[in-house]
Amino acid sequence: MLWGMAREKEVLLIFQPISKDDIIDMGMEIQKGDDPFLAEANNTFLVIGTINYPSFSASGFHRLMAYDVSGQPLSLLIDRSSVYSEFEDGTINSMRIAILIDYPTFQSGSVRLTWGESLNAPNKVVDQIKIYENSLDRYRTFAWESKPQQENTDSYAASLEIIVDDQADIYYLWYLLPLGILFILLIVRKKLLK
Amino acid sequence: MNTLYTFLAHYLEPLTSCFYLLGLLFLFLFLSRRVSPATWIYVSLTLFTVIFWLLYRIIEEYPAVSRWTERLNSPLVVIMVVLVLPAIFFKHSRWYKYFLILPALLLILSVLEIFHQYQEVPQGFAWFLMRPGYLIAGVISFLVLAHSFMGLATFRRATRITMVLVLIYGGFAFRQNYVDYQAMVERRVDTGKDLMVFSETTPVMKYEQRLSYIPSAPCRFSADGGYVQGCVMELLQRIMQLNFSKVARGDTVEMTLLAIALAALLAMVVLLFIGARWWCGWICPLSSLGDLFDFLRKKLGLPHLKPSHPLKLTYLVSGLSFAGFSLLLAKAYAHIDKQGAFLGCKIPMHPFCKICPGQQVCPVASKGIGAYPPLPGMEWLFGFFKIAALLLLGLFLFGFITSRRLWCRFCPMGMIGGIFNRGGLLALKKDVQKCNGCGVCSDVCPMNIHRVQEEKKHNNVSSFNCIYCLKCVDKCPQDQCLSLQFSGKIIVQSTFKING
Repeated sequence: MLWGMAREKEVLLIFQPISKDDIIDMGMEIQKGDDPFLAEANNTFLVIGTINYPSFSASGFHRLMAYDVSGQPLSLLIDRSSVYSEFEDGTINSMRIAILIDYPTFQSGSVRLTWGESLNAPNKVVDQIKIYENSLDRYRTFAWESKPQQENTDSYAASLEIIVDDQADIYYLWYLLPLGILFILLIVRKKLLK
Repeated sequence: MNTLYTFLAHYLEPLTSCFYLLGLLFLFLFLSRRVSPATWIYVSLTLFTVIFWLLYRIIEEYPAVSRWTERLNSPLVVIMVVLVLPAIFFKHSRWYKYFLILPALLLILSVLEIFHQYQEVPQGFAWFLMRPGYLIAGVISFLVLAHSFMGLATFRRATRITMVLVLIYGGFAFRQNYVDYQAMVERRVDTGKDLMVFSETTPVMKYEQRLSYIPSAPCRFSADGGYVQGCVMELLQRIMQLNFSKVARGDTVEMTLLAIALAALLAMVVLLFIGARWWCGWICPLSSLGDLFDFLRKKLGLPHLKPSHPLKLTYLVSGLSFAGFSLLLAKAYAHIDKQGAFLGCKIPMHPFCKICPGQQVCPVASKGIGAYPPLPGMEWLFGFFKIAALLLLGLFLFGFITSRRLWCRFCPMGMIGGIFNRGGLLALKKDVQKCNGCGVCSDVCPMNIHRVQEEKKHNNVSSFNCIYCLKCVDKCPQDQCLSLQFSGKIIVQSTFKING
């Protein structure tokens, strides 16, 4: 809103098991060894995914934050190499992130991802998030658009109350309707003038 | 100030929709064709506003839908509705003098906004810090108040000077807040040059992934950012750069970009339907700067060249060719490799912008000769961009120095506006019975249009090249012979003059 004050936006994330195809799709490679982030704390998961939600836009790495179900902030890693800025003006439209969560959080429900100008989160920015062979069972990915095909209690532990737009692929056509009407009106009025 | 801003934002938001403005103007058009009493007009407008407001609020309950309608909102719309439309439609009403209290109040509010924002400034001078809504309200309020005591020619000059100042220098002088100002100052320090320095030119109005365009040439490449995103051609290049095979696959990023671009295109088509090529005559800073050369020529007492038909045609065909070729290159940009080349040829991000004189003239006007952008080398598409940029800059200077607005026959932005000159809501009308064929309209026309003089049958004398400068209306010696109509209402018309 150009008139309005800045406001935060959020989505709820659902976790899914990560597959080798997901890793390739994200443009990542599997490295040898153990993940240093996961080695720091036992019984934790690293949820990796790319935020490209249609209305996502952040003016910096610190303008987004993840919270667990009790409202506690979670550690967020940001992959600098994956940052995508459409207009090259510093506004980030898409980037890869990783959220370090412990098992109780994983089991307890949803993770809320929030972004907005008022946030100033102490996120850790790394040149590139890497995936390690020995830690594969402790990686997850996230989604917000669809429920996984097969429910798996180990891999699917989040609330299904997600803010989604599962018809986003057709809404853009809405703009074509008034555009078409205006052009038809223009042609009709031109004809009437003659 | 924040409370007031939030209050206005909440209650006036439905009135910031392009659809509201368009609906209102169509209602005017409908009512103007009937002899309706004033009370009926006011009741209709109020009823329409209430219904639209309620509908908007209902739509807002569905976030998935309102996200798409919100992209079409702009504070420009609400200011047009509450300030501009009353100023042009009800100027001769006996209540008009009371209406002027509103722009005066808005002007005071805009000044108060600056004082309010300065509370965040630790020390020093940070120019004018105001949110876009207040800035638009302030600038238009100033023009509405000025309109009350100025003649047509003086008012047009005042509008053009104001718009040049806002569109060229606005990126520096007007920032949304102190943080925004600091970011701009930091960008100024960064002198790293590349071919298209987008990161140094963040538009002031860019907000929440919305692209704010106006139809003429508010150059995106003015130093410190243009006031809005850019012109028609920048938007068309963005659309050409989309990867439609990804859109077809439902790629989220690509579809978001398509939605943003389509929303901007729709908002701009609404503005073109409303104003057609009026933007060229009253807003475009590129033509205003170009007219400085025309002014110098007049001061030096040099005659202006009346372009021959082949010369005009050459400009038109060249403009179309350059625009078409550049748009094709914009399409190719979507397929460049890691070296920035397509089929071995280096291509800049926005090919048309690279050769458009706007990208050379506007930065120099706003920041001095040091801001002249580096020309691409000969390796950029075999030197096309280097040579074409210099050639078009030469054509721009030649077009304004030798002949009034010859350049505007080349300008692709103007050509797109010209499509809406007939059939849109703005129309130049002539009472053929009152025309004595004196030819004053042809003499004063900067676009060298003869149709207004020669038309003997039809009332509508709008034509593709008309920029609605209204010099013909102002100078026409016949009472009520020529007039400008907007949405069916006569806005200004010629009056009897003893000595022409």
